[in-house]
Amino acid sequence: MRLKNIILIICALLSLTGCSTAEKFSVYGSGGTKIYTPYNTVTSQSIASQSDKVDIAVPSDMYCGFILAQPSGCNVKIPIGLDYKISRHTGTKAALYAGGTVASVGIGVTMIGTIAMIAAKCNGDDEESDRFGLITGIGAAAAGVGACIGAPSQSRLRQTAYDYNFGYEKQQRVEIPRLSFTLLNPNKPKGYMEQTQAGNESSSRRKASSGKDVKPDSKSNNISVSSSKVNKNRSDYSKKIEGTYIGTGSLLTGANVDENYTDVNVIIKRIDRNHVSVNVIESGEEYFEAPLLYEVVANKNNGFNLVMDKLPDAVIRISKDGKLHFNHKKVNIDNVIYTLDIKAKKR
Amino acid sequence: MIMTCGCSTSGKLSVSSVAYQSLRTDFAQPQSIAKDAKIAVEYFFNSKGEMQPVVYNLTSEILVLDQTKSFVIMPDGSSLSYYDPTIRTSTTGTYSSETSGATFNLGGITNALGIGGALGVLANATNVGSSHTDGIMRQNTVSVTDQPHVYIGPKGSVAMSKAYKINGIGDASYIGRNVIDVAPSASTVRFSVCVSYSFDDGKHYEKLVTNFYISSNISVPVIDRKVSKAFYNIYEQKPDALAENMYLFVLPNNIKGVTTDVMGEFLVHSNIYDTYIYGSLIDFQ
Repeated sequence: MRLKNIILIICALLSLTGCSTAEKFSVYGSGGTKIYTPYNTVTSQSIASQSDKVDIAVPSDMYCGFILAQPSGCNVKIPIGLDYKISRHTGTKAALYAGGTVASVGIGVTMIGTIAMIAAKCNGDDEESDRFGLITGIGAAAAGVGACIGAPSQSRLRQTAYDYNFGYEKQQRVEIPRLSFTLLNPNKPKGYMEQTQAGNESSSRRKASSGKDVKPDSKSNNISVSSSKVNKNRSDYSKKIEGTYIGTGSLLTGANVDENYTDVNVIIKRIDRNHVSVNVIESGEEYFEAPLLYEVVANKNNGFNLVMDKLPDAVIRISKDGKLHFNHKKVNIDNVIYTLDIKAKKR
Repeated sequence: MIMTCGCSTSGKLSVSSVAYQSLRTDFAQPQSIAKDAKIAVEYFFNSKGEMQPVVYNLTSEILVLDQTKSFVIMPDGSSLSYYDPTIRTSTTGTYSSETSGATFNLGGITNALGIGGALGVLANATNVGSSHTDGIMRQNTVSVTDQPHVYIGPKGSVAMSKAYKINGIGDASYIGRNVIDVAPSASTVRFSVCVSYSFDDGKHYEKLVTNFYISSNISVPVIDRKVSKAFYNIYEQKPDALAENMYLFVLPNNIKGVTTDVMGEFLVHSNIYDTYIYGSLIDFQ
C-alpha cells in the first residue's frame, strides 16, 4: 500500500473520531414535570407520565450539581441535586494505553523499515527496498491506528468527568410528593416576616366540581407562613400531627343536618413547627377553595388544638391517640353560613 | 518499545455538602415600586458573595450619585466607600441566576410593567439580572468607573463602581449553626449600604440606606454521594425556601478551576454548575 494512501486513511479515521463525550442518566418523576439543566434553563424536557422518564446527557467537560424541576401547575423551578458516582472511565484509559502502545510500536517499525529501505535502495537492491517499504507502510499504519485510538482518548481525559473520575447515577428521581405545598407554590409576600394574614369571617367553599387545582385564595386564610416569629424554641407540633385523617362528616344549618358525608379525608401538611395547612377532601373532591391555615397549640390533654387566626369558630382538636374533630361554624356556601363537622382518625 | 504513559488525574469528585442561604432586607420586599419613587437600587449577589448595586433614576431629572458619600457597612462594622481610588474590585464570581418573575423590570420603566404596575415577566426591555446571567452584569447604561460623582440621566441606570465581597454570603467555608428565618437582630451576617444622591446638581444630598441580613443558613452534608437527599433535607427544614426574594444554593466540592500538572499539562475546568442563585433585593425612595 502506498504511504500516501495510508496517510489518507489515518486522516479519515481521525476526523470521524469524536473528542468529547457525555455523561448520561435518566430522570424519573411525576407526569408533566419539566426538567431543565442549569446550563440551559430555557429548553426543557417533559416527563409524560408517572412511569416515564427523560434522558439527560451532560457534557463530560462539565460538572452539573443539580437539575431544575418544574412540576405541572407549579410556577417555580425547583433545584434537585444530582446523585453522582465514582467512575474511573477505565475503557477510555485502556484505549489510551493501547493506542499509545500500538502507536509507539508502529513508529518504531516505521523508523526501522525506512532506514532499511533507504539502505537497500542505495545498494541498488530494488526487491529488498520494496520489502522494507512494505514494512514501513505497516509500521505507519500501526502508528495511525494507535493514534486513532489514543488521540481522542487523550482529549477525553482532559474533561472534568474524566479528570475527577465521576459520573451520575443512572436513575435520578424527582420526588414531587416529598415537597410541600408551600414549596410548590411560593406566592407569599417576601421579606421580613410580618403579619399578613387576611382577616375573614368565613372560609368560602366553592360549589362541588372536579379537576380544579387548589390555589391559595388571597381572600381566605393565606397558606403562607405569616405569623410573627417567636424566639422561644418550641417543639415541632406540626410534625406530630401531620398526615391523613379518614372519617365522616356533616353539613349543618343550626341543629339541622343538610348533608351527610361518608367519605371524608382531612389532610394536614406541615408548614413549619407551629403551622399547618389543612385540606378537606370529600368524596375525592376539595371541599374548600383553598387549603386552610391553622396554628398548632398543645392542649392540656396531651393532644393539640388547631386554631385559625381571627376565626375562633373554626377549631380542630386532635387527641393524643390520633382522633380528629373538625368543627367549622362559618363555612360559606353561596353566601349561606353552615357548620361543617367532621370526625376522623389518623390513617 | 512500549510506551508507558502516566495517567494521573486530579482525584475523585467530592461534594461535601449542600448549603442554602436566604438574604433579606429589614423591611418586606415590595411587590411593586411606588409611583412617586425617585430612586431605586437593585442589589445582585453572586456565589462568591460579591454584591453589585445598580442605581435607577426613576425621574425625568438628572440624578447625581455621590460615591464619596456612598458606603457599604460590612458585617464586621468596617465602612468602605464606593469612591476609593486605592481599592480595586474585580468580580470573580458569575452572576448566574434564575430570576424569572423576581427581578423588578426597572429596565422597562416606560413599559406597562413599570412603576406602580404589578411585577411580572420581564418584557423586551433590557433587564438587569435576566435569567441565567453569566459573567458580567448587564446594565442599561455604561458601567461607571471610579468617579467621585456620577450623573445618571432621566430614566437611566448605572452600576456602582465596586462589587464588594460580603463575608458570610455564598462562602462555602461559612460554618455557623443552621438558622431558619431569624430576625435581623439574631442574624450573624448583617450589612448595610448607603447611597447618597441629589436631584439639584449636588446642592443637597439625600440618603437611601438599606439594611441586609442573612435570614436563613442551612448546611446539610452529602452522604454516600446522594446530593438529592441533601436538597430534600433543606426543603423539609424550610418548606418556603423558594419563596424568598433572594436565595442561593451552594455545593462545595473539590473541583479546581485550574489543575496542576495532570498528564503533563494544566487543565482548565470552567463549566462547573455548583451554584444556583435566585433573585435580587430592592430598595427605593
